[in-house]
Amino acid sequence: MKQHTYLFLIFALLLSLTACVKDLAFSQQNAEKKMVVNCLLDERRPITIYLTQTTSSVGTSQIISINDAVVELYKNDSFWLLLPYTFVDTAQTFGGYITNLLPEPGTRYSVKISHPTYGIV
Amino acid sequence: MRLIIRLFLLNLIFGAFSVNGQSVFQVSGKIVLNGRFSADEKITVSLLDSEPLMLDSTGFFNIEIPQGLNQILISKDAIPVKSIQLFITRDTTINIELKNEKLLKEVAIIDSKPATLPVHELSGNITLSKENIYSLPAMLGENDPVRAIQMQPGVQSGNEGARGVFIRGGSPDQTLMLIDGAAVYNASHIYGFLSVFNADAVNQATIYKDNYPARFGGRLGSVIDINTADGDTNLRGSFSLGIITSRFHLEGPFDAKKKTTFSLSLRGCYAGLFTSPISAKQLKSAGQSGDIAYYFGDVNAKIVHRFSEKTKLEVSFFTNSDFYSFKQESNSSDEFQKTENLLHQNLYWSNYVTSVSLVHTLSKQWTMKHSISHSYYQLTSDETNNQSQSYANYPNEDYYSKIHSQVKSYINDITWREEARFTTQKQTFRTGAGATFSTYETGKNTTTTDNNYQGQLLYKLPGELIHSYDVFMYAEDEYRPHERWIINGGVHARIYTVQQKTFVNVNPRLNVVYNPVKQVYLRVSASGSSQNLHLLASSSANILNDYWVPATALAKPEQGWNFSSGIMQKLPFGFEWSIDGFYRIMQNVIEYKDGTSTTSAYKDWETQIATGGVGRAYGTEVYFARSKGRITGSVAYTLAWSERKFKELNNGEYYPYKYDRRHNLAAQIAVHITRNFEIGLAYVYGSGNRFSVPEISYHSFGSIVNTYVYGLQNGYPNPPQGNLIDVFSQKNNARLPSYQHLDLSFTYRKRVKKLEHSFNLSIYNIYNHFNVFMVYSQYSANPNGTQTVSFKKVGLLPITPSISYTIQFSR
Repeated sequence: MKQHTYLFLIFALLLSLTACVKDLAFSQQNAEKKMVVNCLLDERRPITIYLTQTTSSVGTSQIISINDAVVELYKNDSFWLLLPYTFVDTAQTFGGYITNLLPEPGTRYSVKISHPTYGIV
Repeated sequence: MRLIIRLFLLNLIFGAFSVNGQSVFQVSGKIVLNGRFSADEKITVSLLDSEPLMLDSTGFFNIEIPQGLNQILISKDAIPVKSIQLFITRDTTINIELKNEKLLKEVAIIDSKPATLPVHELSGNITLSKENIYSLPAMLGENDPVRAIQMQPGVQSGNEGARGVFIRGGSPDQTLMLIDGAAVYNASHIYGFLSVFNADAVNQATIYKDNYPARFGGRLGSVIDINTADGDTNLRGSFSLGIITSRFHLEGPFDAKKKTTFSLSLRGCYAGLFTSPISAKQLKSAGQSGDIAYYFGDVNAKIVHRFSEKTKLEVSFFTNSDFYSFKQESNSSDEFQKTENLLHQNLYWSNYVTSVSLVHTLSKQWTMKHSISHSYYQLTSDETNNQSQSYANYPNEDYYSKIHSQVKSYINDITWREEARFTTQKQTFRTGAGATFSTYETGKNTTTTDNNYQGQLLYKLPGELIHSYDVFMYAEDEYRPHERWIINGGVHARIYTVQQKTFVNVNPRLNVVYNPVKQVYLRVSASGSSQNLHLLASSSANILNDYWVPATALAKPEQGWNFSSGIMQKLPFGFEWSIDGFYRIMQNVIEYKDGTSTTSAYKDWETQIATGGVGRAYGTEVYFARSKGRITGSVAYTLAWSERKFKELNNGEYYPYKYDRRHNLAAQIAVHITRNFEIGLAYVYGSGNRFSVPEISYHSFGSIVNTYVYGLQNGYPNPPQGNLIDVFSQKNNARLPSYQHLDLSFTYRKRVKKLEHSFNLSIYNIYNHFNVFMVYSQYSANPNGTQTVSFKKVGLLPITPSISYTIQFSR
């Protein structure tokens, strides 16, 4: 068609078409710290309980041990023993609540933890 | 101007003193241009100083006129081309024939004040013309119909780059998107910035959100009905070359008698030519390598053949194909550890939509429409994810993992539909029936994994092939018992069969408009609805990874109710305002279970979702507009809430829906400086999307004992402290920053003989607001063994000017 001869090449500008990345913060991420209880009973290993602090969901997270709790171990719902805080490394940077006793299969164990900040668990 | 007008005034005198003493009469009839009517002609009929009424697709009109002497205006493209004086004493039928060559003389001035605002109908429906779409500032050189739709009250885009249209708190799948009567399953290009609808091809788009007429069904909330142009009887077209897209449009007659017309629109996007080197540079500055590439193309074609004045055949075809690629490679090493990561994602998606319809006018009252349509949508996701880590002090902890997965899904449906329409002076009655046969294949997955624990493994999941049969029938009547009342009522019923189980849903619909005083209209509506398919939408990112799945015995058909009421007033000088309130109830909605997404779609999709959810959405919409004069514009504000509840999620309590936008504001102004020069301004503000963020984290037992304590006990300095486990107290507990952009455009048009030159400068996001496209969390290991986590927001479009030059020609 004759009209096609009138079609022009169109020019365009692209001043910016770039993806940009920025940090994003949420107010929800300043939640109050809580105590985390980690314990695995294995008949071949001494009973060990690690108490640590939760960390913020953003920023640098570090394992922070809680060393001033009172940890009571119950066996078949009866008080059995108090677990002392014991360092696991020679530099004494990190520890857990450890006894040399081994857990017995078929026995029910429970733990009660008291802490001045985190209360009773 | 030479117009041949044939007036057939029936029983003009005898009705003057009718028994009911009515003072307003119905004037109905047809307007025919050169022996036929094309919906593309945009011919309107109105009383002097009243709102124009757009003709329907067959050229039929029906207006109310007070008794006595009246002046009726017939306009083409918003410009009056004929004035008729009528002395009305009773209901009247008029047939008018316009001669095209005389109208063309008027065409020389029609572009001086094109209609820039959509028509808000009394029932609450909103109709947008091609002019409305082009009156908005362009983004990246494109005037997108869906962006124009998103400027209306109650309608919103998800966020920067979110796909689909979100109407009144519903999800994108709850809006039925039709192009020439056929369903479109994915209406988005390029992250959702552009829709698949090419403005060159669109004739008009209608949004149904208050009034859900019974002739529509199959979705829970709303309908967007897009009609493409029939094709002009004179050859005309346009060509445009833009920053990232180019378009070509041509329409005209096939034969000398102009019985057959066509419309063809092509569009191509070559954004990858820019995004690939730019993103490579961006990644390089971040110490990584890779690129982002994106390409798409779409085609709209339509052929209309008029066998006679009474019979018309329409064949419409639409397709799009999109390709997206993201490649990211990052390597880091120090004296303690070495990390290598490779992520390569490819996405392909396409729609193929075809519809054929035959419209036959049996008599003055009866019209039949027979149609058959086919819609196919497929999405393929291909991902390679390789990771390796090695530690200088812990050789036993070296780790590598290579995963390659490809997931394919498609939906394929064929719909047959019959509709009969009966029109009298006081009512329009429609009834119809049809059936849809659909085939879904979801999650056809091939995954290869290779790591140092398991070795190489191949998983092949054939995908679940499901057939469904959906039979529907409806009856709808729009009745005007009195000049102050419009009642649209009906019933839409669906019988859905899948996996040898049958579901029956009967949905009543009602919309009532009452005109208590002059130019003030009250409306109230209630509609039941059901939906026999779901959209599995990942909430993790805006990258397309949504899958259509059928309603099944487990994921039952969604059901819902919409209630709304409002008030609307038409004021002098083209001003109008409206306030609407709505409440929507949803049942049997679905959602991904916590911790699952499409990236783990090698499992059966039904095991990954929470079913039987309920939802509610409610809010208020306020609209104010001026549609006449040199300065036209509108403001639409929506205050809304949208919530979901599942037994399996969020402790069984209501939580905010991802697109729970509290505030949504859309404003636009068009200033016609001269007949050829126009300035457009558009502003959009929306509260940010909802998002789940962890409130606190803790180190797992494995992190403490297996990594950290083991390292300490063996005397290693700064052993790795392992990974964190995030704790979420509530789903979607945070809100992303607001989404907003102010856009400006300058348009200059010049007509030289048969050519119209159009020069457009548009600036998107003038004040360079950072709109969040996606959010991700970034983890980095520190030399002292700790880990740093940060959330990153990604924005794609800062202030973005674009220039386009378009030439239109006509013969």
